[in-house]
Order: sequence, then C-alpha cells, then structure tokens
Amino acid sequence: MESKPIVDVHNLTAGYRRRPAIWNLDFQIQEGKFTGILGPNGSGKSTLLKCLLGQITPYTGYAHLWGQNVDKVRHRIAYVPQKESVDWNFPATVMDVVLMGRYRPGRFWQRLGKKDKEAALYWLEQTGMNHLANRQIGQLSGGQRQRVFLARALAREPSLLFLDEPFAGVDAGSAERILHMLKLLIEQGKSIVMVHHDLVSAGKILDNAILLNTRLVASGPVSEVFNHENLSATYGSDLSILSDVIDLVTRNPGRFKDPRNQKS
Amino acid sequence: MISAAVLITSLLIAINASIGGTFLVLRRMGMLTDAIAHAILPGLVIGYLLAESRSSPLITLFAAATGLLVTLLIYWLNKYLNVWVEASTGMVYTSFFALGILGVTLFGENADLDTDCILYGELLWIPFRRPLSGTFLDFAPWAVWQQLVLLGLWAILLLPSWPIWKSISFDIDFARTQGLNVERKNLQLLALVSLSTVWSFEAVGAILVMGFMLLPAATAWLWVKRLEHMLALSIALAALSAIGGYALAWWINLDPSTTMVLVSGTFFLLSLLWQRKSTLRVG
Repeated sequence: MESKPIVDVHNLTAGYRRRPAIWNLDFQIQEGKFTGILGPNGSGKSTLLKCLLGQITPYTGYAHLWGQNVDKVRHRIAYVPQKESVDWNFPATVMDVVLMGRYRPGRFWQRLGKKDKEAALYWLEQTGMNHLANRQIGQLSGGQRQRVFLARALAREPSLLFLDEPFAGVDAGSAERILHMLKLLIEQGKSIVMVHHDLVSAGKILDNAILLNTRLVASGPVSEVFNHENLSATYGSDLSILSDVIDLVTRNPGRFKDPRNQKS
Repeated sequence: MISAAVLITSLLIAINASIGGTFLVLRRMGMLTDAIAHAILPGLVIGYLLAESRSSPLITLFAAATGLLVTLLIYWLNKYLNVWVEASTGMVYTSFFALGILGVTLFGENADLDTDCILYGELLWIPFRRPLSGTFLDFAPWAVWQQLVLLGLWAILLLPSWPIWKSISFDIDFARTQGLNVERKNLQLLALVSLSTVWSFEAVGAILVMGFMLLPAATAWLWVKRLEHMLALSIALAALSAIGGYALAWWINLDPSTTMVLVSGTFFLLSLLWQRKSTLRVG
C-alpha cells in the first residue's frame, strides 16, 4: 500500500549568512516509514534538518509537514538533538529533562501535573532509564544521555520523530535499545526521519533514504537508491566500502538489526 | 551605626541580583552584567540632562533602555555578524562606557554626577533618598520600593511558567521546536536583568554589581543537582552574604557593598575547595 507523504520539500535552498548549504531540494517522505538523511560531512544534512524543524528560514522553496508550515504542527513532532548540543553540567535530573518534553505553549499557568509525571515515568521505563530518574544528568554515559533525549522527545507522544545522529558516540547496549524503540514506533505507525552517518548500518535499518551532497542525489526506498552510481555521487567514487554496502543491502533489504553486531 | 534601611535594601538587591545571576551563569553570559552596568552610563547622562534631577524615573527608564539596547546589540552582533560573544561584549560596552564618560565630562560639572559614585555606588546614602514626604511611600527609601517592584516582576515572570524557563535554559533549540516563543522569553529575562542592574548599581556601583549577580549563583551551582535548588540556594547565599557583609562592615568600619561581595566570594572559594575534595574522595 502506498502511504501518504508526511514531509513535502519543494525547491528548497537554505544555508547560513546568505551562503546556501543545500540547493534546490525536491523530495517527499512517506508516512509510517523509517527515513534516513545520508551524506558526507558538509553535505547539508543538518541544514536540511533545521529547515524541517523550522529553526532556519529557507531562501527559496518550502519544507512542509502534513502540507502545512511546521509552526502549525509543532504539537505533532518531536526532536532528538545531538547530545553534544547541550551542557550536561546543567542542574537537572534525568526526570527533569524528560518532563521538559511535556511542556506545551499557550497557557498562562504552565506547571506540570500528575499526568505529565506519569508519562515521563512511562517513557523512562521504556528507554530503560527509570532507575536513574533522580540522577544528575552530568553523571550519565553517552548512551544514557542519548536515551534521556529520546525519552524527552517521546514524552511528547509525537507522530513524527526527528533524530540527529542518535547512534554517534553511543555504546552498543544503548544503541540496541534506541534502535528497538525506533522499530516499535514504526510498528505503531509513527514516522521517523533520522540524520545518519554510518552507511553500513543505514542499509540495514532504514526503509527509505535521502542521499544528499548539497544537492539531492536520490530519494526513495533503500533497496532502490543504494546503487553504485548514487553512492559514489554522494560520497565520492573512491570509497571501497561502497560495493560492500550495496552487496549488503541487496542481500538483506530493510531488516532491523543492531548495526553494532554486524561486520561489513 | 546600624541602619535597618541599608540592611533591607542590600538584602533585596542581593536577592534580586542572584535570581537574574542564576540564569546568566547557566547560559555562560555572566559578563553581560558587567557590560550592562558600564554601558548604561550614556543612558544615565541623557536621563539626567532631560530630568535635571537625580531621583527622576526618567533616569531609570533611560538607563534600563540603554542596558537592554546594549544586550540586544551584543546578541545581534553575535548572531547575525558572527562576532564571538566575548568580543562583541567587549566592543559594545567599552564604546558605550566611553560615550558615557564623555557625557559626564561635558555635562557633569555643574551636576553632582561623578564617575566615583558610578563606579563604587553609595549604599550608605540609600536611607536619605526617599519619596516625597507626606505620602505613604515615605515609609521606606526609593531603593526598597524599586527592589520590591523588581521582586514582584521576577515572581510574575518565573512562577507561572517555571518549567518553560527550565527547558529554555537547558536546551534552547529543543524548546524552540516545541513552539515556545524563546526569543520573547529571552527578551523578558534580559529586560529584568537590565533593570536589576540599573537599580542595584546606584547602591553598589558598576563593578560590584557583578559580584552580587554571579557569585551566589556560581556557588549554588557547585552544590545542587536541580535548577529549583540552585535558585533557592542562590537566593539564600545572597541573603546570607548581605547580612554577613553588613555585620563585617559595621565591625571593621568598611563600605558594606565591598564586604558583602567579599563574603560572597569567600563562600564561592570554600565551596570550590570543599567540592573538589569530595570529588577526589569519590574518584
């Protein structure tokens, strides 16, 4: 069954200080799919994510979610930033951070209630972090920090989840847990858009991929877009790993497996 | 001589300053206080020239507006022209301060506006600055009323949306994707910090106000693991420093604002040593 587009990007050019980092992107992302944004460093992955989240304004074109401006649908999305983007010495417990996902703008009196605490506890359990609920966040490992960020995003109960390299600097156990959670979300009919670095694992865990190298190289199901031509256009042709990746994908398409336990 | 007015004023100043300081310290924006305290000088001069009296609210208005303008300029230089934040702070506030000194030198001669009182403040004169006699406001000095208003504004700003302040202070990009108007919240916070600086500075001067803002907050951060506790401890330490500093000043006959900052600094140093020791014990 063909699913509906949840993200619609048209003629999108965006960047910083009047220097475009991405040019004339045109693609759609299907609902209920696990989609990866892939490309080398400097290919504009983060810029594209910032456009989708409405953190920067595009120079031309648009990035719509559910056919609307992102500002209209913020209650339906959530975001897991890179864990390096914050100061972990901040005085907050794990519970405090997860509760941050529960705030919704609009009301004057914005204190949190019992329902919010229950939701936060639920997601702490789901991410396996409930025993650390009262720990100061600075004492967490890299993988635990990423799980706290995931729990904070999921506490918003989003239909569409954005993640920025969630597996970077994360231990194998946490990576497995995070991947398991993401898989469950897809099974529940939610959509995921993830900026991802590792090409080998991408081939195994993603449904769809957007290959980016400041311009769009290809977008679509992994089994279709992961071919030699596209990957060398994205990463440059001198990567010997490319043929291995293509082999893997064609042998084993669209399967969820822990990327850390596989050898390329 | 022990003056209740001086003690109460400095207590309130210390408490208000430590609230703003808590957020500035967390955002690594501590130097902003120093920048505001110096850069409001031209605003003071303009306000003074227009009002021709020292107690006019025009002066506060111009000074606070200048403080906010400076803050926004620093922010703007950093965000849109990509000037490193320390560099833009240094550039903006020294230029404004120089402009202010020029103003004082040109127009300050036939007025009792001098650089000494701007740099060091005059806490001991506070009781003599009172609203018009005969009104009920005459009950307390101007500074006490100012600080009470400020305390009320902090309560209105922080209490109803406390979770949002937590979220914004920890991760501003995440708060933005939640649809929170973080720019407006930032502006409100900076406006109160600016007002707090302006109103404290008449009493404690442009240099020591930074100690009032940052030292209790920085000390509190060493002890706590939640923002609520940091704010509460920061306020408690500020109050303790004000009382302790006042006692010390009375005992060895010094300017109270100086001793208050010294007491605050001692708390910070002791906390740092103690916490380092405990970290070593755990490690």
